[in-house]
This record gives sequence, C-alpha cells and structure tokens, in this order.
Amino acid sequence: MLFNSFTYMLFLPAVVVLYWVMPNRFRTTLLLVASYLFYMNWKPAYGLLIFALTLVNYAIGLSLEKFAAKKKAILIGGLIFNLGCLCFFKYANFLLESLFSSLKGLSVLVSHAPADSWTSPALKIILPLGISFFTFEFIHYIVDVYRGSAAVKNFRDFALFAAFFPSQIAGPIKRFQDFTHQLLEKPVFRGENFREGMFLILQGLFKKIVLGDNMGYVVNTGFNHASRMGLVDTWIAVAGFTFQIFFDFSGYTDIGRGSALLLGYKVPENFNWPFLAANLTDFWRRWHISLSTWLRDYLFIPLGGSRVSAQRARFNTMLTMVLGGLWHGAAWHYVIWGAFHGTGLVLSKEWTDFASRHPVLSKLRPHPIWHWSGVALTMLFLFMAGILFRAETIPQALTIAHKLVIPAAGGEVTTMFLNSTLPVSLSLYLLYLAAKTLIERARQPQIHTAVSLARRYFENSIGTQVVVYTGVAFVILGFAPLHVAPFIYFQF
Amino acid sequence: MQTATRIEKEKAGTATGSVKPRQPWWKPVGETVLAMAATVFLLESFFNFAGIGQQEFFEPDPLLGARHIPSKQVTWRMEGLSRDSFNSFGMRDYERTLAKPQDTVRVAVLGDSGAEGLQVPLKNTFPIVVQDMLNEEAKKRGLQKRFEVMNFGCAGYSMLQEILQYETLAAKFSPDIVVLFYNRMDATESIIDGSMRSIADPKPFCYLSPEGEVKLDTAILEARADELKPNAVLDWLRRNSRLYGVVNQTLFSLSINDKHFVKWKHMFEKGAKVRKVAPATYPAQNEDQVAAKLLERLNNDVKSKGGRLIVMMFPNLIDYPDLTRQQKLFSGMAEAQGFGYLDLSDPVKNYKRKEELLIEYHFSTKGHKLIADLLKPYLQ
Repeated sequence: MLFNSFTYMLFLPAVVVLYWVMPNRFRTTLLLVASYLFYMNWKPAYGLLIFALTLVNYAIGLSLEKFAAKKKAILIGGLIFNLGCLCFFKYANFLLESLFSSLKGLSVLVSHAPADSWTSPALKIILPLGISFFTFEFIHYIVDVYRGSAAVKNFRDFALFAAFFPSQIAGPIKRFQDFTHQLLEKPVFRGENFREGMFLILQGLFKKIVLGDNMGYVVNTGFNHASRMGLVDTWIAVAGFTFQIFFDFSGYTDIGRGSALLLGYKVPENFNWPFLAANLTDFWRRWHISLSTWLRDYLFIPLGGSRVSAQRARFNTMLTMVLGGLWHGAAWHYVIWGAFHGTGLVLSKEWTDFASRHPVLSKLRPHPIWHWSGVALTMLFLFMAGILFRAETIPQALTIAHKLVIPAAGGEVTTMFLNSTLPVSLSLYLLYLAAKTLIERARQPQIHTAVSLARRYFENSIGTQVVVYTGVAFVILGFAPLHVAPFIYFQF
Repeated sequence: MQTATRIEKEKAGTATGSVKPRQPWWKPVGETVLAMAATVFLLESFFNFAGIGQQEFFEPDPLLGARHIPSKQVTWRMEGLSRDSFNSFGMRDYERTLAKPQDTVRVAVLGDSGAEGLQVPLKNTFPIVVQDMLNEEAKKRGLQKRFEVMNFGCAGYSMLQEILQYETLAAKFSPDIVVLFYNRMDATESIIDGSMRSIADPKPFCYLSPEGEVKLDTAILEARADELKPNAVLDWLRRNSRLYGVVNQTLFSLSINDKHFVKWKHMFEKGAKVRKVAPATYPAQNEDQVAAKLLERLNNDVKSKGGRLIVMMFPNLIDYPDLTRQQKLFSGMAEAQGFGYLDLSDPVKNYKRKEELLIEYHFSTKGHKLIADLLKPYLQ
C-alpha cells in the first residue's frame, strides 16, 4: 500500500480510530493485523515470507539468550540466514547476470563463439518490498542480543517491531530497544501528538506529491532523452534528481513518522537539513540517518572504524560505502555510487585534517565563506553522485556528466521545468522553511508571544484545525501531477 | 442560583487552572465558519494566481454531450502549458463577431484536441499562427483583404460532433473555408457498439440508414438527460471555482491511478442508478462507410453555403491500419468531390528533429508552426 494512495487515506483513519476506541490489551494485536494487511495489499504471499523471517529471528534472539555458550555460532548462523535471504531475493540475479556477462565475454574472446548463442540465466524472482530494511532491523536485533541486550520475549511485540506499517517498507530502520520500550508504556491519546502527526503527514505528502513527483517528470524527461539535453537542461535534470530523491524519501519518512504519532508511537528522524552539510562526513550525519548509523554501528565500527591505522580506516570507509551502495540496489552503478561516496569521504577527511594543520588554512576555517564554500562543494559532489545513482547504465551516466560541461542546444527540460508548477511550489516551500526558521530564531519577545497565542488558539479550536488541514490537503491535491508515482526507496 | 454556582465553579477553575471556562456554543461554530470562509478565499486567490484547478473546461450540452464553457479561463498543465481564456462562444480563440467584417476571408477549423491545442499558448496554435502569416502577407502586398482563422476544435470530439459543431455554431460565422482536422479514431468515436451503450459517455452517435443516409442516435443522450440538465450550483462552480476544479481533477487522477478507487466508484455507481439505454435499432456500423458519408454531408453543406472544404489528416507516424485506410479513402473522395486534402504524415515524418514537433501526443509550438506553414498555401 502506498502512503500517497487513496486506499491509505482510508486505511490510516480507520486504524487510528479503531486503535483509540479499542481496549488497550487489543491494540498491539490490531496494529499487527493492520501492518500485515498493509503489506499483503501488495502481494499477499510475501506476507508469509515476512512472517517466516520474523519467526526465525525471534527464535534466534531467544536462542542467543538461552545458549550463551554457543551464541557466536548462533549469531553467525543468524547473519548467514538473514544475509542469505537478502542475497537470494535481491542479488541472485545480479550475481548470475554479472557472472554470465563475464563468461560470455570470455567465451566470445577465446573461442569466437557467437554471443547470441548464450541465453540469460536470470531467475524469476520478485523482490519483496522493504526486504533490505527488514533484514537490517533483524541483523541489528540479533547482534544487539548477542552483545547483551535482552531478547524480546513476547512474539507479538517482536512481530510488530518487524512489521510496524508506518516504517515497514522504507524505514526509518528502527532500534528494537526504543520500539519495544514504547510498547510497554500504555499509550495515551495526546492532542499534541495528533497535531504533530497530522502536520508531518501533510508536510510529507507535500514533499512527495507536490515537489518530488513533479520534479520526477522533469528529471525523467532529461535522463530518458539524455542525448537531447542542452547545458541548462542537464543541470536542471541533475540537480532536480538530488532534490527529487530528498523530497521523495524525506516525504515518505514524514508520512511514516506522522502516521506513527497518530498511534502514539515515535519513529526516529531520518533527515536533518542534509543540504546544509559543509562536508561529506557532515552530510552522512544528516542524510538517511537510520541507515548511516546502522552502517556505522554494525559494519564500520566492527571493521575497526577509524581507531586503526590511517590506511585501514580509509579501507573501512570505502568498504562501508561500497556495501552501502550495494544495499541500495543490485546494479553496478550503485556499487560505483557507493565507491564514489567512499572516495569523497576519504578525501573530505584528508582535506579537513590537512586544513586544520595548515597555518593559513586553519585561520580561514572559522570564516563563514569557508563554511558556505564547503556547503556548495558538497552539493556539487551530491549532484555528481546523483548521476551515478539515477543513470541506468554507466554510458548514460558518462553522457550526462559530459553534457554538464559542454554547451549544447536543447531546452526541452528547461521549458518543462518552467511550465510546471515547480517554480510556484518550490517558492512556497522555501517561504515556509524561511518563515519557520525565522520564527524559531527570532529574538523579539513580541514574535514569540504572537506565535504562542496563535498556537494556543489553534490547539483549542478543533474546527479551525479541521479547516486548516483540509486547506493544506487541497493545496497538495491542486499541485498533484496526474499520475501517482511510487516512492523511490520502495525498490530498495 | 444555578448560574451563580456555575460562575463560581468557573472562577475557581480558572484560578487553579484545572477547568476551562465554558464557551458559548456559537463561538466555536462562528470561528469555524470564519476560518472556512478565509481558507476558501485564500485558496481560490492562490490557485488563481498559480493557475491551479483551472483544467475544468467542459459543460454539458444537450446535443453535443459536452462543450467548452464560454469565457472560461483555462490553465492547462497535463501536457505542455497554456494559460488563456475561451472566447464568449466557448471557442479556443480570440473574441470574434458573428457578423463577418468587410473584406474578410473567414476560415473555420474543426477538430478535436489536436486543433484545440491547449498544450501551447493560444497565440502559438496553428489557426492563429496561419492567420497572422496570411494577414502579414496581405499587408505586405497592400491588400485590403483580412483573414480570420477561427478555431472550433474541442478535445474528445468525434467526427460527428465536429460536424454538428459546424452546423450549430461555426456556420453562423459564415466561413469561406472550412478545415476539418481529422484525427485517428474520429470516425470510430462517431459510432457505438451495441454492448457499449450502457457505459458510453453521454454524446451523440450516428449510423447509416438502409438508404445510406446519416442518422443521429441520441438514445444515450436521452438516457442520461438528467446529467445534461442545467444545474445552477454546479454550473456556477464549474465556471468560477478552482477548488471545484481541484476536486474533479483529483477524482479523474484517482480513476486512472487507483484500482481500489475505481472498484469503489463502480460499486457506488451500480448502487446509485442503473441506466437503461434503448437498444440499437440498426446493425453494426462500418466506420469507414460512416466517415465517408459524414464527410460527404459536411462537404455538401459547406458548398451549399458557398464555402470550400479542406480535410487535413493528422500525421500517421506509425502507420496505423485504420488511419492508412482513411487516408486513401479521403484523398480519393477529395479528388472525386472537389475538396482540398492535406496529409501531414510525410512532412512530419521527414522533419529533421521530429521529436520536437510533439510534446507527448499533441503538437508543440514547433508542430503548430509547421502545420501553419503547410496549411497556408491552401488558404491563400
């Protein structure tokens, strides 16, 4: 079920109302049933797969506690099981195709056999939605239990942790300690949670539908007709993709977090103004936070992190990022994207160390120009990385990168961008961000008094709340493109 | 006594901060109504500024099924972009007078969305471009003669509707030349299969009588007459409200995107009303025979009014068999019956960067310019 679908707009209120009118003892069960309905709406059979994965990991967790002497073997078995499932569903065809291409190339080269005599060995596998996220949550669970956290005893609670619909398909990747802790507390309906939840859902829908989906049309036109793009077109398409993926993914997270809040649950934040990052290390602290912290805790640090020799630390960074790239998708351009980010992180760290030691550069570092140059360069790096992420093939990525610097006639993408609702909706969004920031940072007490008065009025007037939510929903619907697009991160 | 107790309780509550003072009932109601009015006003103004919710441009018509809303401002974004108003006759055109000005050659363009050209600004549609070109040339040559190329194109119209549009509206403007911009499916959409009658859109269809005459089939229009009746509130909203436009746009988007919505809609419609359409009293129709007869009828009508007909064929870019058949049929008829015939297929196919001529399915500004260039010699 898509968060931006008509079905979800009926499903969510129904679940929320049932949840709060139901006695507390039935609520977890209700959420569990709702979460499986949510998942099985896409492919009912795969609900069983998620259930089986949940069951096995639940058993692994209990076994880790019960058989302390063999816990290392159990952990290794658990990791092999989880990664094996992920590899089968996500990477089997990628590995087979890569092997097949290499053998085919070798055969043509050695025996001059006709290339078309080889048939592709691809298996008919449909990637289960969200399997990368499920797997990472399970790995986190068994590793943490291995490290000493208490295993979840109640199967229903564990199943809900795995299947919780607001974060089921594309995260944020939850930590079971935070989640099960919330399950133990008796949920109480709070007005502020409800208002914040509604606000997050509407903000997420605005980001996803109004900005991300409309941007997607422009970006797709550019990337699908790369050879026809001019210089300005290429810059719009490339920058557009970076923003599209942000609006798409952070929109998804907002809707998920908002939906969870309507049920009284808190799901971790995944983004923190990532485009204000002054370097790549800073960027990964602000972008897809739940993934980057997972990679840090369960891959980078176990590899030795940065408390090893400089050479080894560089290798750890590269390996973490390459695997992070591969986690996104089974294709070489994702691997290259990861390697590109790894190289960027290594260079960024070297540069920061060098600048802090250099007598002149170290004096320039506190200057705002230094900071904003870093922001601009990081942005430029992200645009380049975005090409690798979005392009379907390496030659297509190279064509687009080439077009970023070679002046050429075009105009199709530029016209499309200017003809779309994006100039208005982006201005509206920037205006909203500016107003929000100004209010938060305002020093004048009058502004704070006015804001708190308005807030109090809004909190006390349910009628006004309904009218305002409906009004914002109308803005979203008004700017919505004709065709609904799925979330980009659903494919991972 | 009771009132005094309540006031005391309220006072006590306020002092301790535990009980909120009770509001009179009209206060929250009034606040909500005010908030609603302010939100509607703000949204309508903002949508008007941003060009949102202005893609609603049809109103029901008892004969044609649907027609453009006169003077309606339309912002079209589904493919390309345009922000213009229809004229007071509901044409995608500048304002025109019914009476033909002196020394003016009038051209009426009939067609569907291809002629209507909502994908580009009005000034870039081929009728306006060719009109400007002809007037420029006449001016250069010092002629008194002026040209008015009027656009009667309307999205979704079938060949029958285009001809009825000529008979009921375009002919009143006394055109000297009539251009029928024939698009693929225009003939197919003029006839109806027996099995589709209960779910067809409310519009006129036609058939050939045993004597070979074109007869109107208005059974579907009659069966759905209640939908075509004027409705003061809906008509006002359609003409003036962008919020209404957003609602309709959303319902349309859901109907093409969401299978669950479609299922629910069908269930609701089935439960609401079962339409009974009179069964067809004629055998299954051949679209080519009907198209030929319709074209003959239009040509005779135009000729009888002292005008000249030109049939302009939409480019057959991927050699659709039906359009290829109709190309042959119409070019043969043009020769035999003496009307003009212009096929856009070859010029478009041979255009150096032909992808620039179309946006998705419709002509871009460059496409309209090419049509104008090709049409110009036929109008001089």
